[in-house]
Amino acid sequence: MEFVVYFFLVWLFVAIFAVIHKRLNIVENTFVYLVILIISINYSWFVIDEFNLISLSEKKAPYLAYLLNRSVGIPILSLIFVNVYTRTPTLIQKAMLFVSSVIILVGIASLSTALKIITFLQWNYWFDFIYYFLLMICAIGAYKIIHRVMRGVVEEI
Amino acid sequence: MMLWETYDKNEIYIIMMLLGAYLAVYIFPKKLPRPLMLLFLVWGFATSTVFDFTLGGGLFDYYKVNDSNKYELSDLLTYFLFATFSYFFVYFYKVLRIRNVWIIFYILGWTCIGLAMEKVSSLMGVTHYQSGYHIYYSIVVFLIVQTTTALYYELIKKKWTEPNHASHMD
Repeated sequence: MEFVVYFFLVWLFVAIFAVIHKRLNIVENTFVYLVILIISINYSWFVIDEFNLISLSEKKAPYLAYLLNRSVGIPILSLIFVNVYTRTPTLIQKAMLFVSSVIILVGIASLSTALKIITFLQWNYWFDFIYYFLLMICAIGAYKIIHRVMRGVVEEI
Repeated sequence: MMLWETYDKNEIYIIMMLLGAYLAVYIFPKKLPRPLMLLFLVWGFATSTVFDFTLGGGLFDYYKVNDSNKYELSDLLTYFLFATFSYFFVYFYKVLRIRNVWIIFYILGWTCIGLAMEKVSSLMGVTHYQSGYHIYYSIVVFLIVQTTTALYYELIKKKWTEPNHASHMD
């Protein structure tokens, strides 16, 4: 059940990403995805395996659901956020989008606890909120870096 | 996270390889545009992280990187080393003008290089196999990673040649 729920969610995020108008080009999208993927994997390792703040199910189906969310779900959601963020005109709309994205990510994390994929040991949703808030800042930061590097590049590859 | 459990041959090997690899990145003539250079360095870092944290850790735990199952600074340096492999894969793909059937030979060649490097890493104490894992399982990982990298580079090349690539590639 856990795997099916997360498979559906990840499918939905990928489908949304495929159909939305993308402001970022393929290099920028890939770069942001990879940066968020690296952060997401390292963060999960630290809170679960290094510091034992969260415990992870040792059953195969919930574990696969966790891998799917960590490696595809969170980075794709971050990409959707950055693509929408870059074409959002006003500061208030940007702030609302920012908070909404963080709430969605915390909501997905709460689904993991509800389905007993993860169990909070010395952790709570506020820490999750802070983490996802910082993750979205990293996503925008990664976009700004690659966008700056991309500017004016017309060489043949 | 710790620096390392014991500073011995695996740490020395990683640091020497890292210095050599990034020196080569710096010295070799720049053939890839800067965004692609940055992208494929991050690509190498990300793919090695994905496989190490999925196959080498967690539920599967097929191998240990460096001295312990804990996260060490030398583990992080290993991922920075992998980043250069991805870069040079694409670099020589371009320099050697790899096309059509040669893509297969190129990937097979890099798989052999990967296996040789992994054997050396194993001898130097960087990778320690456990839970029945054998080096030949890594052939699957190399084939997946290198084929994906080659196909992705081809996709980027195709998008790059479209008009106004710098502002809109999609």
